[in-house]
Amino acid sequence: MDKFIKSIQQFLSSRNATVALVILLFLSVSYLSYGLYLRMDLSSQGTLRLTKTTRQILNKLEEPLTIEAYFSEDMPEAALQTVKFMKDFVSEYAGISSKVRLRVLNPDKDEDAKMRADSLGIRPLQIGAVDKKKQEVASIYFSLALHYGGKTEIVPSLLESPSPEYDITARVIKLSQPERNRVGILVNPGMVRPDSNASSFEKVEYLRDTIETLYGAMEQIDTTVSEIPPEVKTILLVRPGVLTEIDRYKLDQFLMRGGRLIVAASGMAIDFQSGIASESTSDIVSFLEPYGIVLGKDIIYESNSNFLPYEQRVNAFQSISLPYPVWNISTSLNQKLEITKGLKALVLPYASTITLAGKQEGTTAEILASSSSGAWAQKSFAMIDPRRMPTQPPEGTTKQIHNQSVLLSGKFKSAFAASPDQNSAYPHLPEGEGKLLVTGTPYAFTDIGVQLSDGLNLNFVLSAVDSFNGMEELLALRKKSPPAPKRLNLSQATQDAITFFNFLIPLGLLAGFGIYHFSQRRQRMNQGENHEN
Amino acid sequence: MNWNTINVIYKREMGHYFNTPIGYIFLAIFILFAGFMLFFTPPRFWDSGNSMRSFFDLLPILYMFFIPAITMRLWAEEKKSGTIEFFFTLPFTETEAILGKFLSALTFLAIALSTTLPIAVTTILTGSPDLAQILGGYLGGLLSGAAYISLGLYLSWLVNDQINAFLLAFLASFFFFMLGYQPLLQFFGPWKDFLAFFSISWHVQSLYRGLIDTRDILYFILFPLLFLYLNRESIWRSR
Repeated sequence: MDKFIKSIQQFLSSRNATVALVILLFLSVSYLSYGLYLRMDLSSQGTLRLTKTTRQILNKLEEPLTIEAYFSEDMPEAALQTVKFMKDFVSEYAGISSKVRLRVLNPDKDEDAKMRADSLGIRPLQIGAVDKKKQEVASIYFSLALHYGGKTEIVPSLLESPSPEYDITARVIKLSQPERNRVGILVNPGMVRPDSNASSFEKVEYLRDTIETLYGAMEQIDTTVSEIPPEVKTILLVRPGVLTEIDRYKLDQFLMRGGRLIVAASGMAIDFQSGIASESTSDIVSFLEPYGIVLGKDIIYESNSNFLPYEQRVNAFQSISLPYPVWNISTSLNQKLEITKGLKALVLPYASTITLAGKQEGTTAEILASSSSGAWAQKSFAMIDPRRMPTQPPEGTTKQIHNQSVLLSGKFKSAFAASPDQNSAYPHLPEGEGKLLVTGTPYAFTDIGVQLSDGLNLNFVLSAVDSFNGMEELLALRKKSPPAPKRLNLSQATQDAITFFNFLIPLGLLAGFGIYHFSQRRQRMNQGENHEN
Repeated sequence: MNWNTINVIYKREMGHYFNTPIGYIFLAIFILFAGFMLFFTPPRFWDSGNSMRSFFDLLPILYMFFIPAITMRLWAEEKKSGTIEFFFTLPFTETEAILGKFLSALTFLAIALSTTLPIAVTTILTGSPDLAQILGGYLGGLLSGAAYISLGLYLSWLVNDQINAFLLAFLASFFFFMLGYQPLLQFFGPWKDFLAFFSISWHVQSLYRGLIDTRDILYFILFPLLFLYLNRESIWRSR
């Protein structure tokens, strides 16, 4: 026994013990730091940075908030890093306020958790995974359930969320501040609808889903056959086609009683089959005119646009990149207004010009987005096929800045004020304080525009809705705007040249330094030899 | 610890890199591979939104070859040529010698990384990069490189031949890289999270996203310290 104790004592006083201790210390300190850490997201977007707004909201909670995280343990390689970041991010919520509790559940291994997830409507997410050298679809849980005051909100997926903070905190706001105004969308015949089975150019499913998450079910209003419900304070009009007099009257009166209209419409009708745009017969143009907005029957060609280059195959091995000037990015956004403040860009496909002409007294107009000075408006008839597009404006048309999105607010006068039979057929409010936001294209808010703008366009329209509904907290959360997409439209030859210079510059500098260094060294050696001689 | 002495060793080692063609050859290979990874490996730079992401993602793989190449001779060459005996008769401690060699290799790596700055400039001019992510990428590249260098330096001491030092460092780098590879980790059951935490590639990902996490910074401080310490212990034992 003594011998054993002695050998232990000897080991402990040896350098071997110190080495073992140092290794153990490294392992334990590294691993223990897992639970105690600080994190800073220095990226410009700050996706994983909790804002002051979230902290304030969580600290103001009156009742306990329980965040149930339904996370699978085995995640495919592709999702692993995102999962790691998101787990840390969700944990930060629990660290802010003692009222926030986090429960992590694994429905893959816990049958009760699986049943609970099912009852809450949480379904496993399907994501692509490579397993045993073959492509498979992995089924994983990575959702949240937020419980507050007997109510529950679900964050269906954290995996591909561009703004997880918004996704979580907005739902916390919804739970803790249930009273809010409703949002509606006009679904008169011929309009872009949220629930159509049409192409991504023709539906607003993303927009509908996002708004419904925050504002409850979106009211679908057909003004031809029904009235605008009084609880609806904001209405979206995406590519309104036919607006009969009764439709225009109801929308006018909605504006007069303080309603907010968000119009996304073009003065041109696009035929994607033939690649031609021609003057639209939509009644929205005449609807807007009494309020001082002229929606141009034209399409803006942005000569600097390179957002959506069009690849054209030259031969079997080579393709060239053509600019697509009708898909343009507006980076000239009004940074004074809450709606566009902090937003880096808007992607505006096939946009028409908006001119402020004869603005009503008592209203103020703000330009939210405009083109660059290199843009021109192609009037009445335009090619949208990149192979047949003009590269320069036609004679008599100059390149200039065009308004692409404007906001009118203040005391509007009814367009029906001069109606001869105003008291019988159209009893109306003669004036009222409303807001009218017009963007010169519907495709910025349809699914195609929302998807390709990487959240920028969605941010814009949601900021407008939040601003119109006095939801400053949501607005503050959405200030994490993605950077403006920029990709110079470079020819293949220019790309090759830049690639070549990326090799040449460092190799040239290296060779130059090497030659200089060796010649200096040789000189010093020669001097040394001469000195010795 | 005398910084003047460390500086003497540092300069001596930097001389080894730049007074012979070998350092230039390594740098040229690094430039060619880095450019090839970015411009010719899918997703190609011009097809992927002009982003440096693929460069940073493939950097650990480049390191697995490059860092063993720059660390292999640090001790092994001294031992093979017999200068090690003379080296330790000079008036400096093991710690100073290790630090001098470590810092010179780290500087060489920083120079190698700086040769990719034209790529960063191209990205900024032609794409819409997040500067924090580019800076985070370079910081991650330097910190993970420091970890691999400390490992390579230690392993270079354990063998007497540069080729063996290269192979050993390559295998060890590969091991620490693979620790974060999920398909492999799934065989370790409940230990997989623990093992993943010690992977270099696991820790560097946060920095590539512009996230500064104290766990990663701590890891990148402790990892080189551990291997520099083990190197010192090994030298002490052999003397």
